[in-house]
Formats: sequence, structure tokens, C-alpha cells
Amino acid sequence: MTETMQEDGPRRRISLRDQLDCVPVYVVWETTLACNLKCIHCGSRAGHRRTEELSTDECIDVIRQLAELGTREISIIGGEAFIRKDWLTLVRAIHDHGIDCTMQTGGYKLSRAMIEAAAEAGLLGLGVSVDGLEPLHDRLRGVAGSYREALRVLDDCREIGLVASVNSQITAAVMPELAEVMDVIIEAGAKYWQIQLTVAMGNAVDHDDILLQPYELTTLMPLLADLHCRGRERGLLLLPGNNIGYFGPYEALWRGPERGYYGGCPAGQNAIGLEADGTIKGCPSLATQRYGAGSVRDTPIAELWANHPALQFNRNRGVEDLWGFCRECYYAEACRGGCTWTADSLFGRRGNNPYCHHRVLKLAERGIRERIVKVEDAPPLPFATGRFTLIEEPIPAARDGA
Amino acid sequence: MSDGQGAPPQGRTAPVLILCRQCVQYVFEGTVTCPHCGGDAREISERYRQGGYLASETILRIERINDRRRG
Repeated sequence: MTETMQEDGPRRRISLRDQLDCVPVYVVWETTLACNLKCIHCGSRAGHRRTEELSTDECIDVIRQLAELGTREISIIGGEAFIRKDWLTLVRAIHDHGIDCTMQTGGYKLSRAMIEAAAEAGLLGLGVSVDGLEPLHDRLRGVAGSYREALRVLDDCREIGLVASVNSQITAAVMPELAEVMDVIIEAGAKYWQIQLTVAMGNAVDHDDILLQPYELTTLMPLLADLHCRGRERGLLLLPGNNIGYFGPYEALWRGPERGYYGGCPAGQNAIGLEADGTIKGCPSLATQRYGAGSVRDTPIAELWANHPALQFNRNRGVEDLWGFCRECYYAEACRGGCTWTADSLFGRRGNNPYCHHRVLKLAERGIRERIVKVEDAPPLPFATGRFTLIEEPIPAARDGA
Repeated sequence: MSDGQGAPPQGRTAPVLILCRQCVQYVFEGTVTCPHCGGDAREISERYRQGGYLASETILRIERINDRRRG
């Protein structure tokens, strides 16, 4: 699975009318689950294609239906989207329907000629995953040479004139090298850098040592704020993904007022996720078992969008399904527990998200921190979740010289 | 659009938040005493002015008005 949610262009911006009318502005589409990387944090456990992936004709019909519903951007992901033989046909069809087309990629074996062809077909931007410096990136991505390939793709984009952004997964190991990663991607020509916490799903549950602990946000968030400011001076815009938040002291720095503050999870209200076999969800990363809303192969998207409960959970949601700290939080009504994917993947239930800077700081005022511990593995399926428990404990006293 | 859709979907909008003009953290619209810094959220501080937040706030207000008009 590749990271989602690119930079906020004007067409991506969700208006009041979009919210009220539940316009599916943004669609993230896993066009194939086939992948040439073996990422140890991959939530969808990508590798082999699904047994019954949508045909070209079915995909084009999906694009037509989404255009009718008012979709303004489709981001194709995988697996690795370009492994599909018809990927350029799909890029062109998206473009021809008046929808912005972007693609997220690991970049491995994506040649310059392929990038040029995609740009010619109407690809508007390419997001490339860079998860650390070379040793860490190649370890996380499971393929030696994948780091160099990712940087080469960024360089090709610059020469071709295609807007390139970088997506980075925040794992426990990457924090010490984030500043160097920023230097590298600026050098490679990236203009946008989207940061996202690695979520406890799929392969990441098997390798839970890579997950950041919630209390580590006290170190991460000031670091990101510093990088945001330094990046801006050098023409790179660091953007927080949907699970970076919420409402702490840096919210105004990277989300607003120009871009607007975090307005709650848009899954199923202004966002759609599609799996390669036609399964539709409110967000591409949500657990299929709990959030799959049937197949676009069997039912028109408009009908599923209007009627299926699995797509509607956010639309008129208040604070009633929040629990734990989030239930009593000052921002509860605005935030509604932040990223559904992050919380639901941990606990099998949305509405209580320990990965929140505001929360971490509030708990720290009481001398408390939170830690997650895996208590159940995830089954060997795409978008499978395990189960974690949340430990509340006193913040250890800092040792002299520590 | 196909048959069987039922009523058009309707969603909620996020509540309006504004920045506290003292500590530059978000508070709900209409807040007088900031829950974060304890200051008067309406009183423009030097930090707020110097950081360009006043200009941004004005732009945001105009955008909200336009958005509501369109809505």
C-alpha cells in the first residue's frame, strides 16, 4: 500500500457545500494489489494481484460514475499502480473525465519513459515514498536499491517538469534522520513532503517494533515544526497527513489559517477508497472487514454512496462514539477522534486516538504517558488489523545526563 | 444517477474554530478566555500581529462568508 492524501491543491479543498452535500471530492484507488516492493509496514500486505481485479472497461465505468458524483481528484495507488498493463489508459480516462489524476508510487522500476508517458496521458503529480536514508528505506521497503530508485524518479520528474512530492512514513527508526531526509529530497527536487505516522495494520502489526509510541510525539512534533519552517525557506512544503495532529501548538503552523484546521476524518463524507476488486470504502486504508461497503462491480457507486451504512459513519457523527481521552477532550466535537484508520486499526473501534499531540501534552501535564502493546496478531489478509492495548503509565523521571 | 439511491446524502460541517490571538492555538468561535493560555482570546497580541495571523484571519473570514453565501 502506498501512502495517500497529497498536497492540498485548490480543487482538493473541501468547501462547506462539499461537506453538506457529501461530495466525494477525493478518491484513492488501489488499482492493483500487485507490487514489486515488500514493505514491512504495508497495511494492505501488497505483493500479488487480487484474484478478481476490475477490468479496464469496469475501471473506465468507475471513473465515469465518480465524475458524475463530483469527484475532483483520483489518486491511483497499489500495490504499485504502474504494474497494471492498462495504467496509462486509466490515467488518460481520469484526465479526460475532467478529474485530476495523481499517482503514489515506491518508484522501483518506474522508468523515465514511463513517467513521460504518464505526464503525456494527463498525470498531474507523482508522490514518491521515501521512508528514511538508504539503509533504513531499503530495510523498510524490503528491496535493496529501492531508495536509489525513488530518488532517481524524483530527479526524472524534475527534468520532465512533473510535480513531484515525497511521502514519508514515520516509524520509530526514522526520527533521528528526518532532517537529513529533508536535505536529500530537496536536493532531488521535491516541492511537497507529506508525513504520515505508520499505522498498526497488516505487515506493520507483524513488525510492531517499527511503530512509534504515542508519547514519542513529544519529540516528533517539535522536530516536524522545525523542519516545516526550515523546509519552507528552501521551497519545500511539509504537509501533515491525516494522522498527524491534532490541535497542538503547531496546528496553526502547518494547517492554517491559510489551509484551515483539522476538520475531522473525511472518510465516507468527502473521500472514497477503492480496492482493486471493486470493494468500496470511505478511506482506502480502513479495515475491509469493518468498512467494506460492497462492490462497485455489483451496485452503482451512487447507490452505495447514498445508502450503505459503512460509508455513512462520519456524515452526521457527533461525539457519541468517542471514548477514552477523546470523549472528554476540548476538541472532541471538531476532531472526532482524528484519523479513523489509526484508532480503529489499534483497537478495532474508532473514536479514541492516542496519537494526538494535544492529548500527549495534556497527559504530560499530569505526569502521564501512553504506550501501546500488541495483544493479538493480524491475520494474513490485506488491510487486516490485530489488537493493541493502551498502557497509561507515569512518565519516567529523566536521568542525569540523559 | 441510478434508481434506488434514496435521499441525497447530507453531512455535517465541522464547527468553526478560530485562533486565540494570544497563544495562537485553536479555540471555538466566541471563546473569550482561552482554555490553553488563560488569556483574552480576542485581544490581539504582538505575536499574533507579527506572525501575520491577523492578515490570514481576515482572508479566512472573507472565505467563510463566500463559502456560506455559496452554500
